[in-house]
Amino acid sequence: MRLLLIEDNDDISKMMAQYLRLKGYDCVITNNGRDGLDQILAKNCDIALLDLAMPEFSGYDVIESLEVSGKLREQKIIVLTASSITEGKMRELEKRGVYSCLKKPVQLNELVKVIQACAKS
Amino acid sequence: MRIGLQILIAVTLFACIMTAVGYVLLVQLNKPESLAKGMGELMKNSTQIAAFGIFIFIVMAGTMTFLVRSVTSPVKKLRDAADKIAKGDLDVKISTKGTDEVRGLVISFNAMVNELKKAKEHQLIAMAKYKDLYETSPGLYRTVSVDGIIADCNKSYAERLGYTMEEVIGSHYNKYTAPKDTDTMSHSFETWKLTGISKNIEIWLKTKDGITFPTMISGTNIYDEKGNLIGCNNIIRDISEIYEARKKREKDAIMELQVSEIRKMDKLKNEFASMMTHELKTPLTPIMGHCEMLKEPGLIGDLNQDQLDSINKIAENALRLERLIGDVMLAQRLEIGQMNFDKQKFEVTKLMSEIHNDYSQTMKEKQIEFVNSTREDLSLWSDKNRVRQVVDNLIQNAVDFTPKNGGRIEIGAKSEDSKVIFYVKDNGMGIPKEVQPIMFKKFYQVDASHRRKHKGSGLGLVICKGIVEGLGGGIWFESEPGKSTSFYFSIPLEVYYKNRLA
Repeated sequence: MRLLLIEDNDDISKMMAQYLRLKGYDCVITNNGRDGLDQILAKNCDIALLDLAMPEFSGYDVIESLEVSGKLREQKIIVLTASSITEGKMRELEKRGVYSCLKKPVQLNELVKVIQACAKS
Repeated sequence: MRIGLQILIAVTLFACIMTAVGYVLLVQLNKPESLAKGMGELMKNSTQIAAFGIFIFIVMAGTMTFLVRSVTSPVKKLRDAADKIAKGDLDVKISTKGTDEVRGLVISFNAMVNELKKAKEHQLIAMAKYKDLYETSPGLYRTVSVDGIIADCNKSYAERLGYTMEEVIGSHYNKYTAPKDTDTMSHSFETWKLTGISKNIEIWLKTKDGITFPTMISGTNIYDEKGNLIGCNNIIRDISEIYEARKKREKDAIMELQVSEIRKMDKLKNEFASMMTHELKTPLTPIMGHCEMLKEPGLIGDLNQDQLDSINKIAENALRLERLIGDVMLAQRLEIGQMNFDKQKFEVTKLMSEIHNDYSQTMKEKQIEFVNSTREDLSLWSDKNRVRQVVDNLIQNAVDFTPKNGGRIEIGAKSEDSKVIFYVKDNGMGIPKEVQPIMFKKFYQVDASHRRKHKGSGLGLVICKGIVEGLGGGIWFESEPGKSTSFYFSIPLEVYYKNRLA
């Protein structure tokens, strides 16, 4: 199972990758949205863990680009956000085709549970 | 008299001619055949002729006297009357005796004099009216000649400037202009002199005591009979009140601008603070993540008990820090009105049961009697999570202030008018009277040591108030110090109906 971490904060992405690798996942990290989108389109991962608040090309831009090309529902995406979006916005993203929305700081064992469920879906 | 004499001579000549003609006629009637003979008889009858001549003369003189009496006398009277009128005396009336023609003339003359009298009367009335207006008007009037000398002014003008009218009349207009405006006034005066156009001008005047005040001066031109500009009437309006009002308005506008500037700054500050708190939260993700990895047995190596205790303390405090930052962020969002609510229909009764269940274990541990007294089936259209957050906060507060033994907390919801009222009641220490008014102010807790003991942000009630008000309701409490405290908050029902219908 290959995971793509799209996260601009290196400390966060490295920590998560370390944990997830220890849990047996293959992890690829990218710190910008545009590269993340390219890797998703190149089918370089099974599940993408996407941060929303990123400079230049944000998580929203990634989601929108996938949506426009009709590929949002094909790609399994878990959104991780620290930004103050409401529950309603989070549920709305899920309706649009994002697998799940989680708020940072997320408990790592909880994250693994979500990844497992997502992989099965 | 001269006319009379001329007429007398003319009549005498006429009489002589008539005498001669009369004689010739007489001779011709008596003895027309002999002129020479006639001449002799002429001499003979000279006495007769003379007598006849005298008779004719007397008749003529009588006629003359009559003519002079009936024609020249009324004409003379007319002339005398005209002289009087020319001098301005209209009190003349001529008797209408005399010949028909002269009588007609005199009647017409008298009618003319009457008309003149009436016109003069009207003129006098009008002049009196304007004179009165000028002199007794509360407005300030002055009449200035082209050389800048005040030829006349009214009482109001003199009094407003602290002078007598005698002092003002004959002085220069700029004596009454405030020093700062003398140039403007002179320039305006010179322009008027050249063009005859006087524009309304705002000029500050100066009283005898040196006090200045703003006025609006307007002018109307005065011309002589040849049409030359000789002066102007100034109407001066004291605009002190208007000026004051305008100054106040300007001050208000500046104030308003400052207030809006402050608001803008405040908004920027809040936005900055909001961003900063967000940034503060970011490092917590790796801190908490690493703690979790270290804590998990066998993941990156086992820790001894001391190491594990340390990691647990780090994790615990990181979690508390996260909550504190979360509170601050929320309070800020509520304050700057950036709070977004997710409204949906939810069962209030079900929510209260859930809350009751979630806390029952904790309450049992703390030996607090925990009661849910919701009796009605209630639904709302509102933000369920935020409503729950308010109830959670109030319960947390109640738990903190409830005594160790015999504590009791009651929660519930009931409908009242067009609202649902939620309540959280405790039998805790109560809220001292003096601090009751500031309960919903930022960072307030009954005492600071309490805050340290309970490790709260002190923003709980501020957040509650922000959320409740954001949802269109209100929050209040009733407290008996030392006995009990009851917190209430209302969420309007109509919002639900309105949204459901829409």
